[in-house]
Amino acid sequence: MQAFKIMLIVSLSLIGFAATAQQGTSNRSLDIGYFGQFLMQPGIRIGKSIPLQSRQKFQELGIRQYDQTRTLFLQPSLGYFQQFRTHRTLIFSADVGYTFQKKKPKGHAFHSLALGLGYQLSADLVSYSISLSDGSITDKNWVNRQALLPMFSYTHGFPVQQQLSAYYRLVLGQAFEFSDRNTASLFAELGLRYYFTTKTRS
Amino acid sequence: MTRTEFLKQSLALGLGSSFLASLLSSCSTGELFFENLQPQFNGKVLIIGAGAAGITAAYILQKHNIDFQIIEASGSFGGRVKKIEGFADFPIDLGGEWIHTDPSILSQLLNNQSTDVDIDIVNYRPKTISIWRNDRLRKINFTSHFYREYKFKNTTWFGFFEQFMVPTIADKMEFNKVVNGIDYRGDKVSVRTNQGEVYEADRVLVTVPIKILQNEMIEFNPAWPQEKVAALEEVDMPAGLKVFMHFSERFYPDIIIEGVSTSTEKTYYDAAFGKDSSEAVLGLFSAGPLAKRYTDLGSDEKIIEVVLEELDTMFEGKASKFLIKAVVQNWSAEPYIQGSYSHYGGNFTSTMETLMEPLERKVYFAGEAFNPGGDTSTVHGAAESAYWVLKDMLQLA
Repeated sequence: MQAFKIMLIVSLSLIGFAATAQQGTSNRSLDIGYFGQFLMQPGIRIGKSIPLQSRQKFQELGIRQYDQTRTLFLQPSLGYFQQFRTHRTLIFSADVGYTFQKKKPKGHAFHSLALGLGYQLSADLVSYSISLSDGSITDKNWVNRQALLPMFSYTHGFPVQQQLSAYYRLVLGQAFEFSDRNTASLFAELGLRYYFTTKTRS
Repeated sequence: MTRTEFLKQSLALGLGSSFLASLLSSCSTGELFFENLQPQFNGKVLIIGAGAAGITAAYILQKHNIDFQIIEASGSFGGRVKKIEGFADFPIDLGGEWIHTDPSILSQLLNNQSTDVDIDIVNYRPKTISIWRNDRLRKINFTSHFYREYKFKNTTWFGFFEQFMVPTIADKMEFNKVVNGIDYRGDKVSVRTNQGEVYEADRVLVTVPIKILQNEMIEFNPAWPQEKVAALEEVDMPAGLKVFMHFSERFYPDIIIEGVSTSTEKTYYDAAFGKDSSEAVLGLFSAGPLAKRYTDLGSDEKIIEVVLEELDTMFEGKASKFLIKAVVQNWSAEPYIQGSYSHYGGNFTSTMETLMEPLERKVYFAGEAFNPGGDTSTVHGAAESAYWVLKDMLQLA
């Protein structure tokens, strides 16, 4: 549990640092989502997108106007999920990828593709004692495991308001524990993206 | 959730659904009937069969000071709950092994707040999982995310009943009493054994495996109503066996799955997983047509030979090389069991309702095949069925 706390503090600090370091630039956004492995182990993820480079394309086709932006971004994030009483996982990760964003009157619609590398810290409840009088649980025995987690993610967002988008995100990952326990994972996320500013950099 | 359901759902139908099924399964254990039994009945109950359901029923009746007798066809209690000691450095379940629900069910079944005992539970979540298909062993470790079952760490299901229930009822158990007739025409129910003994009681609770009923090893008088006979035919209790092999070295993953369907399963598993053990013990559990390959071989020696050949193919001869000893529990060959456990086809709810319907409110049925809550095919479900049935049986004076 000590390792969990340390990871949590470090990760939140990094996200906070990223947020302050990029003030003044455009299209900074913060993701907060319901996140979990296969959607069945509930959790939360917080990620801060930092645009590194943007290219804007404006087109008029008849009465339709297209304002598209392609942005190279870096997104440090912190995810946590658990399985009731028996499993906890904390993932600190950094994604690099492209966001393809269409500006619509209502707000931001976007697709993102990213590659990421995560550090996964898991704790599994391996055994415990149960009282035969009332079913209460004592003497929980947890085992911690660590893994490197390369990931590939796809995110699709829809505008909700000028500064808010809803999105879903699918992540394929492979946890490398450097043993025969290596395992693939599919993470799913439903969340909201808040834009600190609506201005885009051209 | 039974292992069959888990495998079926996670590998065939989609991984997410197993979580819901698991939740639903867990919810059924929270029934209030564990506390709410208020008997109006004060006659005598005869229990036929000393498996999980029979033992639990006797335990409940003893707690409520109701006169009862329990008769068992074989020479010991337990039924499909059985253990072997001394084979490895931990006791091994030769029958029901997993706790397929929240382990708090154990305290609910005992329903005794004055007990001062804790029991150690293994959170059964294997990490290395392979599937054997087309003569190839493939890793499917990702399915480990969906396992949610439990096991006893230092004891067994048999040990649980032996330690916490049987001592209170042992003096009312009789063994080697093979029932072959139940006559419920009169005020009292008359039960006849193949040795000519006759037992009489006001109510009879039949907890024998469903295969015994299907094979008409007990003659009922009057005969079962036609709809009950039809419901009985809806339930299958296929072949089943377990094999345990003690090796000098471990060479296998936590689980190897072969064949997953609603009607059959076969799994090799590390029997020492989560136990306080330093030994390599591999178990084989199979039920249904895949099990029949082994149970039809005729002898335990042949079964071991075939299993070793199979493992040698998977692991390049390591099984034969490292084998120290093996033991077979062929449930199909047990004369008073004759198979694995119930598989319901068709409409579960209506079939279950018809099957559980007592005969003239005198002859009742319980066991792993008789759990209206849905936890059939499990040890806790069998024990739980005793509560379901006794609540009904004892509410009438």
